[in-house]
Amino acid sequence: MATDDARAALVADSAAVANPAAVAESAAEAEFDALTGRLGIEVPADLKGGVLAGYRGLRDMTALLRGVETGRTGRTDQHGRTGGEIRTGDDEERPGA
Amino acid sequence: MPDMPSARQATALHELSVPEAGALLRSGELTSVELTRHALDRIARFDPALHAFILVTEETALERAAAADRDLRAGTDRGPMHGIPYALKDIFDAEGVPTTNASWLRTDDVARADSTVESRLRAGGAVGLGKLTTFEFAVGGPSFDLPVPPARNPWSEEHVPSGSSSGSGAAVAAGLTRVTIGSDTSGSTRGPAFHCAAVGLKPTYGRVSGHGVQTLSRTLDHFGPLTWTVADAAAALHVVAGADPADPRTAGAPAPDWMSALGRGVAGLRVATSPGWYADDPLTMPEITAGIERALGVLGGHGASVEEVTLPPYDVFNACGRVVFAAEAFAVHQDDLRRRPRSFGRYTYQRVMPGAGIAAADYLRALDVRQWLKRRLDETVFERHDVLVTVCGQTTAARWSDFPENWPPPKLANDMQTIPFSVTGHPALSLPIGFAADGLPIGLQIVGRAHDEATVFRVAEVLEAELGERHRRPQGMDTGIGLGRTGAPAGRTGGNS
Repeated sequence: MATDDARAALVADSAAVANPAAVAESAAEAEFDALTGRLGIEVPADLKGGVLAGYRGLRDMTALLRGVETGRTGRTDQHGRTGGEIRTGDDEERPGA
Repeated sequence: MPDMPSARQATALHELSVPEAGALLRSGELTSVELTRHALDRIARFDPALHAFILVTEETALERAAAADRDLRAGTDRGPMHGIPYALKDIFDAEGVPTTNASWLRTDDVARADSTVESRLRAGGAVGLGKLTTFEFAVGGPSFDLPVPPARNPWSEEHVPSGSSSGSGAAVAAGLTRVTIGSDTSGSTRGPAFHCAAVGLKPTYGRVSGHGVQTLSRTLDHFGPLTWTVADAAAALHVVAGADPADPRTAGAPAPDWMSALGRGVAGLRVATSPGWYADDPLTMPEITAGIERALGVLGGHGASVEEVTLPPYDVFNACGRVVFAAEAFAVHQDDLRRRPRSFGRYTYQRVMPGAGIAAADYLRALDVRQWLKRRLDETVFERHDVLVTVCGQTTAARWSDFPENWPPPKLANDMQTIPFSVTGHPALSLPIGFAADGLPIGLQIVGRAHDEATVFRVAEVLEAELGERHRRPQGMDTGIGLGRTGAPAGRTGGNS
């Protein structure tokens, strides 16, 4: 049995290597199910294909937006950064923190 | 020498622009009741096949028309829409009338008060004809699983009119009314205008109040006129625009007299153009690229200067708008999506539900990018130019058969480049510039500085006069009082009734 499971896993891994798009789709579906489950929403099965197509498109778009250099980092820029004693309250990781 | 015919005698009433009809109303040569009856007659004749109207309020329309006539006879002139018929997309409230949003979820909703747009048109003496078909909740798509059938494209029964202000586009193209008011979140006024050969204006964000209007995406929703001509749009905007304490989005710029912008020409204006977004895209029909080139030539011939600019990538505008739209639309509908998923049309559900997956960090990132895009557009274009002339739709109207069972349709059926200016909030107008070889309308988009609709109107008016073909109506819809018009464009075979 364990051997069969291992073989099945190996086959699945091989398929994933052969078809990364399918893996990405599956990951998107799992992610979306988790998010909607947390909201108490169950997507009717016959509508799910269109919903997931839309969600995958949005994932690509959010990834694209994360790569846009807008000149804003989220940190404040009105304090010196060298004294080590000024607390800006920003969300950047501090050396030694 | 024989008497020359008056404008009233020589033109079917639906071919009178708002300023022309207004002049005849004020001179006493025409009454609002006549104008309104003419519109109601055309609705009765053509709308059974078009499905542009969800509801026709005939009785109250005639009452309002009679009141408008009484006011004018008494010397009370309520402005450029006085006595003029109009219709509202069925997401705007009008007291005592259902606002269905074309949704099973809203079939019983009767508005207890007017939207600000409706109250301003009413106060301006205009005559409401009824409510117009929309995609469900101004999103969805051309659907047959809603309480009302989708509006048809008057230029071809085989093609969709686009949306979501689909009834507005169909009604205006068919000459059922000169003026409608639509909403535009990512192109819902400009799209139907483009595909129905009408004028669609998305004013500056916050220019027109959204109080009493179904929200789709709070920071992307715009409200404005979809009309037959530029002058009609200017007249309608004059009445509906302005600050509204009930809608904080409207705070700010005063509303000037846009009618006075008309007739000033374009000499000395600096026009930017951005072929990088569309000219080399294989999706763009060559006739549309050529049409924009022709339009730029017209503007140059009228004394404007034209310069090519390079805009930030279109895909960044699109992604930004889609992410904001998805997150905000889901927020509006999440309770019904959870409790009554089967009450939505299939397309609506599939378009709105994906927004559940947008993380707060990604939404905020999109808002940051949005501000950056707005700055970049101002720096790239509006620091040195008065308007941007660019593509609106990349192809003529999609066929009904292009729409599959599940959203999304192929890109070919959803080809509008309207969302960038929803993202940035700049005013943008969809203007018809003729017809493609397939007989369907084509157009372009004119974008102005924030709060400078006046310059957009100036440019549009010049182009309309040379390229707009405002004399042409869909086949069989050119009849009326007075002289007939030549109807269908060459090559059309599928005209609707």
